[in-house]
Amino acid sequence: MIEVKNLVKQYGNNFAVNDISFEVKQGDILGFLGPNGAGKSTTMNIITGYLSATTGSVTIDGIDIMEDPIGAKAKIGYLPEHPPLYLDMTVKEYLGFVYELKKATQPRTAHIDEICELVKISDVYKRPIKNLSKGYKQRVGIAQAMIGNPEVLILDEPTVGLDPKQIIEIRNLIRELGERHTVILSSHILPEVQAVCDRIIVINKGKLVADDTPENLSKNLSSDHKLRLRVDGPEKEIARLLEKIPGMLTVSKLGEREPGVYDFDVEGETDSDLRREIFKRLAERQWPILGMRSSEMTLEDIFLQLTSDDSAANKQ
Amino acid sequence: MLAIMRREFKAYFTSPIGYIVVAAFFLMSGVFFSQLVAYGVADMRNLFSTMYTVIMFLIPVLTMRLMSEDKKIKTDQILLTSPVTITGVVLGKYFAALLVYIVATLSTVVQCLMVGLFTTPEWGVIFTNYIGMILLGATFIAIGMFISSLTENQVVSAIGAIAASILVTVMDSIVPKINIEFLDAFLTDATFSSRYNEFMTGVIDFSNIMFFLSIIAVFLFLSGRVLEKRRWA
Repeated sequence: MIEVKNLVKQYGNNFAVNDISFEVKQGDILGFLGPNGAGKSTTMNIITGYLSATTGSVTIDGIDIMEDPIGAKAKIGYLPEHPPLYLDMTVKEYLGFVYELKKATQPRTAHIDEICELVKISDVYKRPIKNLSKGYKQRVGIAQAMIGNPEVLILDEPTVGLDPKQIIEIRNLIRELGERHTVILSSHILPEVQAVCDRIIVINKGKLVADDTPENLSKNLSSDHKLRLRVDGPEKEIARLLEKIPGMLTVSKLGEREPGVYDFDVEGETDSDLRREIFKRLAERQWPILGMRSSEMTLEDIFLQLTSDDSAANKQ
Repeated sequence: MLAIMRREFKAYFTSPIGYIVVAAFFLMSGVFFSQLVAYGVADMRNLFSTMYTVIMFLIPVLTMRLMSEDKKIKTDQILLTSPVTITGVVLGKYFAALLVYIVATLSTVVQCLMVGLFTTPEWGVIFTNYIGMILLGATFIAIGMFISSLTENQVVSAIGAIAASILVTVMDSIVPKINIEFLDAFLTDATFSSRYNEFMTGVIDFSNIMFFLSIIAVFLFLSGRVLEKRRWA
């Protein structure tokens, strides 16, 4: 549905977007993840035809945004970083204007009403946009993107400025929209992307550093050979015992959690599974294991790992 | 294009700008008209030619936010990512401002009718005066819109447009100081005020119409280029 090829956007000697390529299939929800200033908004602005790429191409449903901008734009609903709202208009006037601007063909009143219901702005429908709170403005921005039922929705940080309840509502809405639309959304909030997206693209400093499903992303980078233990027994002796296990690399003491109960982080060699051996040895000494879990990396860790300077350098 | 035009036209009247421009135009033409009446002159040409100065200063007020506001509050993003051509955006905005201006100029019809009650004015001359006045305003609007597209700041936009208007009005006054023939000829011919005054005499000269129309076309084209350029910057 969306095909981005070797996208480069250069400002002087500065690469805002540096050779990004990806594809989004119909009905997918793609998450764009990256720290502030990573090039997320620039990429989205290029996809929607607001900016031009220095080199590279973007096609929407087979239509090149440079060659047939009108045709491609007709398929896109876009919520930019700052919702493009005319503050002097009421919500009603504004959505009516967008309806005309996008040359929507759905029955006007019914279509606009339906969208207002979906994003829950019916109660402010007749108020001037300048008097609305940030959350409502954001939702008017989302409504605007949905007008005309475009096949592709591009949402730049759609949940910014919303309260937790609204965030959940909007996430659910996006998930629903994903059934009928192809969605790209950007965020720097990980749980959000994790909760909503089928696929995640991580961008850092204009470069693509990862492109995978949320599950794979955490699996690939997580390590089964890292465990966190909670054991009832003397700390030093337990540590010494654990260190003797063949294949064990590091044992770190995390301190006392309950009276006489200590936590440890242990790391074995890659692809080793030390769980049974640890159980046997501790059982022999009658030191009960109160807890054992693999310390899998959260997306948070992955994100930090991927976007830290070291890993970016490694990827190159 | 129609959607943009409708929106912009409405915006003039949700903010005070539209009312101010129309009211100021009506007020100033009323002041000049009352002076004509006081001197017992029923020649409407005097009124129209003094309105030149008013038009020159009022139009920048009309055009100052036309493009710059979009850039500042980022509403250009919705215009430029919707299935609308840049020409559509430019023309939509241009015609909205032009429409407000035409409403303002038509307010002076009242004075013409008042004169008509007491004497028989030369309706033909009045008609050509209106054509001249609308063409002049249309040209200033095109220039003002272009200047507005260059900046995010409405004040800069307004002052720039006023400066440009003054320049094209008094250009020919420096002609006697320059002795370069082609430059003199250019400055004389390109000065708006002399072109405008020819309409005041009741003559519709095709070259004058073409003069204003081509300037409008150039500045509309340039405004479009500025919008287009933003994609590449």
